[in-house]
Amino acid sequence: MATSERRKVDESWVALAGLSPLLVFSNGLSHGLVLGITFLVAHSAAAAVALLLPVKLGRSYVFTFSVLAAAAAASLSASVVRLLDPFIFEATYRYMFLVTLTIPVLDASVMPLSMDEREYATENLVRGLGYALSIMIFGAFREFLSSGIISIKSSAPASSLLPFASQPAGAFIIIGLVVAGFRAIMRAAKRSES
Amino acid sequence: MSVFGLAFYFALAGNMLVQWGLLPPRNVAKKATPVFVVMFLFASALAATVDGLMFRFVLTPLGLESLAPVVFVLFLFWTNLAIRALLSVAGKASAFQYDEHSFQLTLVLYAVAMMAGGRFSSVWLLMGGGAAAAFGYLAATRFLDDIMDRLDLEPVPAPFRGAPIRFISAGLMALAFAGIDAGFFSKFPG
Repeated sequence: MATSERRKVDESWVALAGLSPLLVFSNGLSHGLVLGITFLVAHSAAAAVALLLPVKLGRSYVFTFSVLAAAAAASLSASVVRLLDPFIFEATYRYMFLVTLTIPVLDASVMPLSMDEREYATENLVRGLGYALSIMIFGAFREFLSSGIISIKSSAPASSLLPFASQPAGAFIIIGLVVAGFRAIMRAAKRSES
Repeated sequence: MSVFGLAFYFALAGNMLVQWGLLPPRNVAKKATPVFVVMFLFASALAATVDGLMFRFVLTPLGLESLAPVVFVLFLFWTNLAIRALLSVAGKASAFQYDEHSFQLTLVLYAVAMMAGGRFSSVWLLMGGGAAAAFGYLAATRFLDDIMDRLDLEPVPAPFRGAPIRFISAGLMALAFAGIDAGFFSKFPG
């Protein structure tokens, strides 16, 4: 495999592996919404602090402050969820704080140095939104596959369409199939262009 | 829970790799030296014990139980930085160096602490649970790497190569673990 191709594979692997704990826990629309919003808040806080703190502080301090900002944002999100729905909070609070240690959030906490990197950092906010949406959509999709319905209520009556889709094993297999399907579509699109 | 039941649970149904989706980069387990394995088991046992004791003797008396995850996240983060700083003084690593693998291992320690930390009251069970969870994770990682090596010899369709086939293999492994657990776990109660 060529070096550039291997680097692309490695980068896509890091992004997927970084998000996979959240995708595995997102087994319904309600969990997906909670985890997606927490991810968005934490990721945006980390990216904003890394971008806005003065460069003279140094990379290490900016990184530390950004991670602390992400943890504080995750705590804030958890508090809001606890007020809105204590049952969802009990089911998800361990995973909400996991967001702080995921690779995309830590990646966003690294201070951009050059102007190019600073422009790229603003894209981080958009990327965070994309990741958060993917967590929510993935949760809804798994809920639909497992029960045949999508409901915002965590205690919605469950029928059984494909129950294993709500299990971690189902999450792994669906992630693999979705990525493979996406790749096949991209390949077909490239082939039709040429 | 008996020690045997504990080890069985963390090796299969409660395995960190399949339950928490913590897939490491490929061939990490194969490159792991015996010293790394021992250090990782020790760190994992320590993480579970610290989390369990912190929960019981600090957070519960203060009524701050729900803050356990964020307190432990910050504890892990500062510990990671402190170890990196010590290694940089010894000239073996650069402090604050961004490294996906070490952060993935930090995530594993968080998962171990969350799984084992709130589950037991005995220090020995906390340490045993932490070490068993880390061992289960390393064993599953090695198992997955072996599957991937075998699949390298097969004509896997192009869109499935790399990450997709790794995720699908992990999913099938998770199904097998869940099946064995459902079939045999009830034999080791208590």
